[in-house]
Amino acid sequence: MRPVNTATIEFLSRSSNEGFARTAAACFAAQLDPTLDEVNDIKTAVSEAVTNAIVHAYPEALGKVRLKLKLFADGRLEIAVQDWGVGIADVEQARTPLFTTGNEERSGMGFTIMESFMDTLKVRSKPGKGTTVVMSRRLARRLGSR
Amino acid sequence: MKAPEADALLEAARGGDNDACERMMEENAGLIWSVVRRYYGRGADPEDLYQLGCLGFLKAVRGFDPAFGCQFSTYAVPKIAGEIRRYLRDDGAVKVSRGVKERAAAIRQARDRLSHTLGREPTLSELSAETGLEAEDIAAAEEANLPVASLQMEAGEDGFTLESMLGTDGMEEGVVERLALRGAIDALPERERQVIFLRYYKNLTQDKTAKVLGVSQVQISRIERKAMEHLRKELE
Repeated sequence: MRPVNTATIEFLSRSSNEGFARTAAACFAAQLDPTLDEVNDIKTAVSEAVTNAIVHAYPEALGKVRLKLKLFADGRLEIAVQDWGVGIADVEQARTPLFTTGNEERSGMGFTIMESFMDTLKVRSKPGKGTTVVMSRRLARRLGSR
Repeated sequence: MKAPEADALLEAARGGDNDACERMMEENAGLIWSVVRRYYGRGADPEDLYQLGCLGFLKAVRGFDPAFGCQFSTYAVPKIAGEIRRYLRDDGAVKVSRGVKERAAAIRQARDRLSHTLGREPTLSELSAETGLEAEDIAAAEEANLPVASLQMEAGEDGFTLESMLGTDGMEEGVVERLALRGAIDALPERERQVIFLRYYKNLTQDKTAKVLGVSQVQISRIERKAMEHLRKELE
């Protein structure tokens, strides 16, 4: 099924871009006329995925993070967060709650939170090449009122 | 003032002795001032702030029960700060963000109103019609969803906050205190640590937290209560 609407945003892996990214996703999703609850769920999920990329993908320097948003006619919103960083060696392990290579504020629950707030979650990664997180959620009340 | 003397004074004040109340305020002027001064420079008159601090202090005197098992000052500090913060929030003394605050409040109120009449969560278009704000602006509003739990928020019937357990109040205070809190949280059993993290650092509702951890909301409530008790014991 082809999307009826798409948006792509690329930004540097700076933590200051996290707020902007999750707000952009929420604003884009507004077209599906969601409830505030759904908006906040989306913000939370995007925040987790983007923060993962910002914190883990490029340990030595700054790199690119791409946020891709797609709306489908059946009211589904698809969000992809991609980086070209270090990648994840063992995705299964990374997705178990509380596993984390980071420190202090990270609790390793990012994937669990994403899973809980979205309908689907797919994680593709190759060490040295990068990581792509794709998640989707069905929102629609009515499409195309604008 | 020696401890037994201070206890007796507090007892008398709690019992409604006005002279004792006055005396308590004099004795604790330093404490009140130490909390109040953190709120200087936000556009509110220092005199007003001190009066509010005293009001909060009196509320603490009335509300304190030695059975809480903590120092009176531990209980009093958030009450003093809370009185001031309430005033600052409602008065809009921080003028720069007034528009943002008002908009967030409008969204919250509209959401409450519509949820009530519709019997369900309203959509952005419904909120937009109700508030006159653009759907995207509503989606972008960060404050429209108040943090459901925060360091300042009270947990439990006796009105303790996570912050008060640090024995201090306000973000300006010490790396040391925050490390102590962090250490205490890290020492919690895994389940409790997870709940505190999701509730207070990720600001999730109990409902959402339950979803993430795969348990019921009732269990989350129970775990959270236990975690708070552990933290309080740890940080005393």
